[in-house]
Amino acid sequence: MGLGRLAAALSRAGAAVGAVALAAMIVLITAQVLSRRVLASPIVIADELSGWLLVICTFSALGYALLHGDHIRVTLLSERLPARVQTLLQVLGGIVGAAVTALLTWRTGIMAWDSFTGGTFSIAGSGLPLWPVHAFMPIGFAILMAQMIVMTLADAARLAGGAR
Amino acid sequence: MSWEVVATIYFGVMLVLLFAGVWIAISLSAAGIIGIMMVKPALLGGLESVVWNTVDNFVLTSVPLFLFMGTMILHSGISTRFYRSLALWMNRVPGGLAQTNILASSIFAALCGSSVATAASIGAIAIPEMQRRGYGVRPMTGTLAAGGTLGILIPPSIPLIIYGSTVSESVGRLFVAAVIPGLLMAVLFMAYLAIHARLRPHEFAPPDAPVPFAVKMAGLWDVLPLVLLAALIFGGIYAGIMTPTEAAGIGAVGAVVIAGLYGGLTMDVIKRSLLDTLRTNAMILLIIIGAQIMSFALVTAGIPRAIVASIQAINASPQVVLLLVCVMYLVLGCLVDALSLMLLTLPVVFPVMMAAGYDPLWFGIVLVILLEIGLITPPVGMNLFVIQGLAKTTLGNVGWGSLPYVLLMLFGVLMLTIFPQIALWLPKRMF
Repeated sequence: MGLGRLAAALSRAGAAVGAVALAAMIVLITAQVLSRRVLASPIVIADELSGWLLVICTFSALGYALLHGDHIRVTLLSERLPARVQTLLQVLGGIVGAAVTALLTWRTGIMAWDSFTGGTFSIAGSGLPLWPVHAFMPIGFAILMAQMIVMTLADAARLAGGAR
Repeated sequence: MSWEVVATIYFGVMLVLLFAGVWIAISLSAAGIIGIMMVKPALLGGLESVVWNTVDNFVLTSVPLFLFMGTMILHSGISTRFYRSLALWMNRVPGGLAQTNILASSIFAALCGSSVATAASIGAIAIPEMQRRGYGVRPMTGTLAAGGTLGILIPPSIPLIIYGSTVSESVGRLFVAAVIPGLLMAVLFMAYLAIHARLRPHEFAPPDAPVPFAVKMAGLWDVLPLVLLAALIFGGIYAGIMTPTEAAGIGAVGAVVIAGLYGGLTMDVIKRSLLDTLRTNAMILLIIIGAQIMSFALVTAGIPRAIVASIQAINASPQVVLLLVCVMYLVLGCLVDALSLMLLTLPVVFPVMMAAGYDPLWFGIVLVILLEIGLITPPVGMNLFVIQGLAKTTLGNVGWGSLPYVLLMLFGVLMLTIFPQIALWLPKRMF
């Protein structure tokens, strides 16, 4: 299925970005400790940047985590149900998930768009524009949503196939 | 609508979604969004700020860093040598390798903020070794599952970081407060195990021949780097030289250095550690986002305040409140994963405990011990699952093997209640 491969490719691309952000975070914080404690000249924007890097590595990996089945669920009751009911519940849960992530994509998208058009700048040390970081929220939620839709469609197809 | 009706709809939606098997993070977000729509739909416009403020957080930055440290050490190739060297020192102590499990878990816990990762790391090494020497299944799996739970009590601890950032308590002070309780639990486990091994020696392998002192000393080379790194991290936080986030950064680099020293540093290991960390971090942070959306909705509807008021109205004594909270965590801990359980209960339980006059640092520690119990009580206990999978045995065996440690942890909670200083003494001496 084309859509499935596209979503998986997006999730993997996100993870690659996230891995770079995580590596940068490790280097940045270590550099900060050394410059603050050893050279006694802190990197002014390090605290702020590391918060942003957390945003980047979290949101860019949301879809990737779903692809690997990492987002946990309580399966205690559902796994005791017949297979078809389980699939049905997964489809319904997938619809709830897609709706929630769609809403979050939209709301955070508005935030990113506003900070782009309104030229929102960081109030702390760096004074950098915020929109590039804000943009990771809608992008991450959108990839997560795409991944959820793909999985839900696959479940729905299984459900329909089983009925025939 | 009265708050009781709102609260009922709200928790009803959450529980139905949760037990229908919808992703925990999505269940919390959905309940929160529905709650906001019921009470004040205009506040949906505040959703994006909740999301942003949750993740743009310097304290939470330590979560992926500590996760990376644990993953890197696991992949570095030092773990097996570390376990074998510790075993040399424990080989004449009653319980042998079972004792080694607790000791190794405690040290690993000081480098890893997750209980599941601690149990998985030590379990993967210990189980083949113990099966080969003929240890009984229950003492073997029980010590691994229970020893692993120390991962979230002995600092660093992912749940304590999240507790601290959720209730605005200093993570550094929480870490310091957790040290003595964590070490006491480890000592308690080992003391119990020694008695167990004396009373029922047939469940343990016979002690090995004594190991020459020189061999033991040589083995320390495989233990020392990990102990030094743990001491650096904890010492830095205790002395106020590093914030927990900075200590996490140093820990991450330290783990890379150790992997280099022990020949485990390849591009593949680095890549795998980064990607594993990202996945776990995304999972945890999405649940935190969901919990913050839920908390935003609950506070908007005035539910935590109303619950606190109604508890005060019936004049429940602080002891009764604590007892009810403990029972609730023991029951829910059997059903829901530890971190999710903490996040979905804190918005209500924390104000209730504060209104009853408990110390936020103290409660953080007690809460983590209660969550640890949830990790080893069936039917849902992540550590039980991990060890069951590794040992290829029944959940019942692991559960029965872990039961004595559940009782010891409850005893720990009782001791902390009678002597709160066990947790509160050390943080007072900080800086």
